[in-house]
Amino acid sequence: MLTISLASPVPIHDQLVAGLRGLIAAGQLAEGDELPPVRQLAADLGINLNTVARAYRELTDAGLLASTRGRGTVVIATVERASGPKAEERKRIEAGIAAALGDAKLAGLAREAAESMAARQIERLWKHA
Amino acid sequence: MSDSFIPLGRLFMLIFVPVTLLFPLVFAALVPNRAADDSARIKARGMMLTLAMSTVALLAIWVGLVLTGLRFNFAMIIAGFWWPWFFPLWFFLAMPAIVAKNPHWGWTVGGGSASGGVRTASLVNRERTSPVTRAMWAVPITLLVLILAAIAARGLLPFGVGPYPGDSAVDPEAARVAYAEAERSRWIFSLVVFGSVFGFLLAILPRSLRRTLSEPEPMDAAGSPELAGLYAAQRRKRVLGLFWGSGVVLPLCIGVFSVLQTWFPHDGSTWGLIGGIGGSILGICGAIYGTWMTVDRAKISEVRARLDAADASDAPAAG
Repeated sequence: MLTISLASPVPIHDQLVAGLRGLIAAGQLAEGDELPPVRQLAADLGINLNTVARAYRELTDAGLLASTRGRGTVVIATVERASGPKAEERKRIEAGIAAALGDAKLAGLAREAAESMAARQIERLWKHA
Repeated sequence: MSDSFIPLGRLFMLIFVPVTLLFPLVFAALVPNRAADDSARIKARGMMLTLAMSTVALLAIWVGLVLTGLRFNFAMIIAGFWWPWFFPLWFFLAMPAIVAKNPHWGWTVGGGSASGGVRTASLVNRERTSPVTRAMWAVPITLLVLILAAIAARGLLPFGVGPYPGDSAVDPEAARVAYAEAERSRWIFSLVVFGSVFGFLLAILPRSLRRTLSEPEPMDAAGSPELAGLYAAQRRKRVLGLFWGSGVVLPLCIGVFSVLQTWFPHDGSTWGLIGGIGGSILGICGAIYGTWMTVDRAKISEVRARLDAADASDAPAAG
């Protein structure tokens, strides 16, 4: 299942990309799994076709998805192609963590609550690693 | 032979027109009034009253036309074509009244959500879940071949053998040649029309089935298996209904009609009447099926709203 929130300040396109990357990272989408057609996902979520198409394209550019004739869009890898030097990657990821934790603090969460949330996500993502 | 069918045709028209005009009112009246508050309920009642008054007015005019038609035929012709008033009644009055009575009917199309801004979708490619198997396609294809062969076989026999009515007293041979030519034209017409109509229906059916499979199925925020099951059951009914209806029943009716018209051309007026009544009955069956699917879809929307409300009440307060 993929969930987005229209009330969130995060753009829908970014939520889609993050949601699909999260499902791949957590192993809920494995190599060879087929994604629904753009039209179907857009209709189910009640969003624009182009938004879904752009998200699929971004993940295709990142090396996670591929469009194949007759099979539609398929997950082809569970590790992204490096988009730049390792140090740059780490900086980008840390900025993402900082933004998420900043969001938690602004939402009024206590430090312990934020820590337990982060630990839960780490446990979920690395349990099979 | 055709004269005996005229009263039957009139009787059918006398039933078909009022039933068609009454349908939007009866359907809207059967939808329970579940408007959110008193003002919405009063608004819905007002819309129902407008629909009822419009229906009664149209029926009264139609009765007037039928009574006038007993003396002046043009009025009877207008009365026969009074049924298209169904469309404004349904689209402009009944549908808004139905949505006002029960807002879930407004979500039968599109991916709107009952749960504020949260929207959830399944990642299963539904195009791969079609209940129409490869083997099932053999049915419409065999049907196409058999019916085309039955029509084409008529060409192996001579045309204009009679018995046929005609001005035999004037020039029997000229009349025979003219009838033979008319029969041959009808045969070619049936072959071309049936082949192209059925061929077209079969050609677009796979695409129509794919579109039906990818119709919106917005999930509740928690992605409940109950809702997924309801969608899957409804999708199956929809796809199978479209396949058997458009791919088999409709071409079979048109095909049998074409075969009869080709092999028994002298009963043309009888086939015309049967075709007219049969076509109307098929249309009514299609409308009933479509309505049944819409009701089903509205019920699923209600379940989704209930699940979303339950999710919202279960969610812990932020803090």
